[in-house]
Amino acid sequence: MTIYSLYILNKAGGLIYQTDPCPGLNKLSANEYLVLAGTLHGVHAIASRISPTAPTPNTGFFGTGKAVAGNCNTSGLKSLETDAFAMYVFQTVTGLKFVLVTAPGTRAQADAAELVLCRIYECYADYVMKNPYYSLDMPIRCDMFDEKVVEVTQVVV
Amino acid sequence: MSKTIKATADDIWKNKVEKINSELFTLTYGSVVAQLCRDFHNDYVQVNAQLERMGFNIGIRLIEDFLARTGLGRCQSFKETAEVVSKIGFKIFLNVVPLVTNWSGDGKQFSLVLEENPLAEFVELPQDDKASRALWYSNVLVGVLKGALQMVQLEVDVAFVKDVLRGDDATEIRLKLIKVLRDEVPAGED
Amino acid sequence: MSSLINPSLSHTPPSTRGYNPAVGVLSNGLLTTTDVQHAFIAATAPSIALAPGKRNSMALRKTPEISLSALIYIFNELIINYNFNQSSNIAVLEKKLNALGYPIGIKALELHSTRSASPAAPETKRFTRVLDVLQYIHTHIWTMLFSKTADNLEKSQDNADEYMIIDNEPPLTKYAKPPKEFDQLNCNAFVAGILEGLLDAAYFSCSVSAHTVPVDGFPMRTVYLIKFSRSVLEREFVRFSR
Repeated sequence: MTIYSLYILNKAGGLIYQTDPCPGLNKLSANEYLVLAGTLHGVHAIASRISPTAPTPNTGFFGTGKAVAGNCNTSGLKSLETDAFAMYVFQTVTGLKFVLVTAPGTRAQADAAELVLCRIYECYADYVMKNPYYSLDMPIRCDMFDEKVVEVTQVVV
Repeated sequence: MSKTIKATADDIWKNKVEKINSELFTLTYGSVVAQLCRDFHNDYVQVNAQLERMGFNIGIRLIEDFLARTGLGRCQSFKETAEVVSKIGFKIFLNVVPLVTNWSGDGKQFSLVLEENPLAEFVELPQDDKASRALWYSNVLVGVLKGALQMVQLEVDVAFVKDVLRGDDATEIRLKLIKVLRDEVPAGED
Repeated sequence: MSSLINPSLSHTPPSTRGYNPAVGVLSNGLLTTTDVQHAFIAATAPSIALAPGKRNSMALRKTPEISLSALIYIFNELIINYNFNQSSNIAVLEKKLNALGYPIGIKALELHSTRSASPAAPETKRFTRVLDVLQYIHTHIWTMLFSKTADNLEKSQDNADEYMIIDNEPPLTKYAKPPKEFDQLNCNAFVAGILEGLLDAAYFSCSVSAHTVPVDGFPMRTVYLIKFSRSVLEREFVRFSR
């Protein structure tokens, strides 16, 4: 799985982090990235409104007896596949979105992507949330987080 | 259920948490409370408030650590929240499991009773009555709970009601659910 | 000026009798002394717990573990932020962090020596040689505080009164580096304060500072520079030179 790009959106849909671990995508301007993030945030929310209304099983800890890996994106836009790339959206209970853009792959790739996103969420919890110089909801500028993201995204084959 | 939850917590504690002796933690917290008492000239009401503010700032960050480490989804009831806070939350950060007790009839209030409190090991309040009446030494926990729960869209009132440091028979924190902030639950969740 | 930057027992006015936790670090000049009478809280004073509880002897206490995160949150919020907002520059902030650590060092020494005493050997040990006390810190105090030993202990080649204790990955700054505009800042000044308090309490008057000296893979590798007072070296010379 080639990871082209990682986006992190705060709960209001603001882009707080963007990086391209592997070359392959065209660069956008800073402003266009912000628009892309905002649009994705909106589309995700709207998608959840058109999701089928049939009751979905309780996926929480007490419903299944096991953890759900932190991804609470159950009815919003979860993935997007095109001939040129695939996109996976991971949403936390606190409303953060972690978005991964990869080369197109098989269906099984979604699970691999989710694992990567889990790892990145852990790095975020460690290297961003435990950085006293970082202000919440602001763009992330943390050297050690950058290094960890590279580590996590490059290890994946 | 409580067996699974204990096993889950033990597993996370064992495999996913970096651990350290509690000594420096206790001493550091003490050093800070002492400094606050000096800074606020022993106005303990202000010290309590400042500890709570600091705790709140911790809570809104710590929640991400909690969610990322545990992989837990949203709780389906306040009862579940109580269990998760005590058996997993307290366990994986402070390595203690407070007792969940004193539920109110409507199921919206409960108490956490701490048998051990790593923040307050070997602490004695000053001899003057003022401190033992006014100071909630571990008040940072109140802020942490409020902040963390607010991030998962639960507005909760939290307060210490007893503390062994004051001569009470137990250390007890009271939590009261004010409301679920439904409007703030992120879209895309059922 | 140096007494402002390096709070140390050795700088306290002669009228004071030792360290008073009610007053805090007098010597750093940050605190008013008017509230001495009413002060405050023996927050971290080692003491026998009187409250009804499980433990009433600290010698018997096991040292349970907690998560490093819990310590880091307290450190970040209570120390860096709280003091960051009130400090006008890096030197002031480091001085405050040092002052916060100082009383902890005094307690850590007492606590560790009390705990290491056993019924068979109830006397606690006092160190008389510079090298002994430094090795004790490098190994035992580090383990007590950080659950590991320090990575190195070195003697300065240029200055006879300077020693260095080196920690490749100081736990308190494991997850964050100061931003570029504060790259001189090392928040392990707090730990330097602990060492200074401990050494002062052990009658090795000194000043300790923390410096970031990164090597590959350890961006926050920290060198604690310990500069002993002349009196300490003179004493050492008189006692052990033959």
